[in-house]
Amino acid sequence: MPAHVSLLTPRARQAKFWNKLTETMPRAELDALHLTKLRKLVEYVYSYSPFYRRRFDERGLKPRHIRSIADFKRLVPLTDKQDFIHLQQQHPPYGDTLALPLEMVAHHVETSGSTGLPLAVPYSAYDTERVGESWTYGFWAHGIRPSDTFYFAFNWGNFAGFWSCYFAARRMGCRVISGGGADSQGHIRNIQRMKPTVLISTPTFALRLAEVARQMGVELRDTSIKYTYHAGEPGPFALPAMKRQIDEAWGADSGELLGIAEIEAFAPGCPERDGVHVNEMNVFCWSMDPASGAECGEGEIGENIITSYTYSAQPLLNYRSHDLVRRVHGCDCGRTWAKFPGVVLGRTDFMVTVRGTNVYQTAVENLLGEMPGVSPFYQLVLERIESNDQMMVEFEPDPSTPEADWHALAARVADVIHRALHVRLDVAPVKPGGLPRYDLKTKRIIDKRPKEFRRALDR
Amino acid sequence: MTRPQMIANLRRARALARAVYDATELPQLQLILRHADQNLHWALWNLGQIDELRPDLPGSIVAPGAGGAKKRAAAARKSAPAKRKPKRR
Repeated sequence: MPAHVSLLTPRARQAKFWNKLTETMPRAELDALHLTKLRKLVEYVYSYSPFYRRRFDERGLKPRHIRSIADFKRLVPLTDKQDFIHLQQQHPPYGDTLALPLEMVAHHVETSGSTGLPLAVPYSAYDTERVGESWTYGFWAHGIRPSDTFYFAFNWGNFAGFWSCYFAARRMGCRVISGGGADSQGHIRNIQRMKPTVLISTPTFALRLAEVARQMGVELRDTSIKYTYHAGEPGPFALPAMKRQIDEAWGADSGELLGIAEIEAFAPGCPERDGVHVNEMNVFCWSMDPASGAECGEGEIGENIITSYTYSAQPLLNYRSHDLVRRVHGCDCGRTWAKFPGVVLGRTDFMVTVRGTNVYQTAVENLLGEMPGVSPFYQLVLERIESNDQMMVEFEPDPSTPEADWHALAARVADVIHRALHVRLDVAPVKPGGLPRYDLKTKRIIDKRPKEFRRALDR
Repeated sequence: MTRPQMIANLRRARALARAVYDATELPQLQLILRHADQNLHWALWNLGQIDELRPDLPGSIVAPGAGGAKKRAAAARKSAPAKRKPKRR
């Protein structure tokens, strides 16, 4: 290839940011842009989406009533996944939620269905151009460049999963290798043979591959992988122990993006590796107390309410993510975009109250990850006993831990949880290999509570 | 080049692409130009220039029905740089 052919100029290649203008934009300018975009979005959905026109008309709401960001938060009705699933069930595949003619839908994906039925997600061709952009902000900040090669340990079905990541890798001009159809050993052999530099997978699947590599006698630190990047479940920027385990197993730098399949891959990882930033060019987020509906202040934990500007086929406005986040502004990395330290701290439905104490899923996971002798394979079982929610922690001891020590280890885990979270949880060891393994989203929560004690969507 | 100059050039590029879209009957060319226009719209968006939510909506500077092919071609001509005499080889 001619040496002078290059995707970027030397100065662009040296840039610290993917787009310094927008990533470091002053808050006042960002907010002015948000207001412009929100007003245009409201006009758009009122004009083209039968679903939103009906919802607005029921409230006597017209686009001209949205004159401020506060108006948007207060007046535009909240939406939830079950609204859309219900309409899609009535009139498959999309109900009357489409804001574009069907011929403009270029790509169909679905959510994983982990909270019940999958939600169908239509993209227009332009949507597919835009939804990958959050990944590119994260990749660039992580050190990934167009000369890198991506390996997708992903099966390319209709699951929304890593499609947006694929769009992003194409946007950056990187080489893309599909791992579709391969089993775990096949992925490892593919990586040895094709020498990619970036692994894309769920975080637990990266650890699963490390486990399989050990059984195959393959040292992953010696492979070509320099970076790993993850989404789909709590990852390295949410769980420090996960970060350490993946980095050590692969001899690479792990990264994380927060996305919601039906909305957007919207929050790229922070270079400080302790949280994610909201891509404020693509989405608008605010935090709400899920119980009272009141807006949360900076630094308070609340439910992330999200609006996408870039899903034009099936727009989602003021959408309840049910993710609990702590939203802050200002970061040493230089981005002015809102940050979620620790990524998602829990789910509104999995913030269970055990003996009067609020227990978040990730808090327990963080403690387990730090415990010597505990493997990355564990699950949290929720039950309803005598009018109280109970959480049982089931974990696999590390294979090097003798069976005779398992119960003492479980007692130590229970003690650590008690001291850190001020709640006593039942902890039980499970024989190594006894818990299920997942290629995509790992199911950490096994909810055995009666339906009436779960959020409607999870029944 | 300043940010306003970049924005002006990208808008001009959109108008030029649209004029060709209107002038051709080749489906291939129309779809290529549609793709190009989406990327130009996205470039403007990421310079903080929000003209409309999608590039093909009424009200867009290049939307179908936004003024007719002749009008758009005239706009493209008007916004194009002044013609220069070709250099002699």
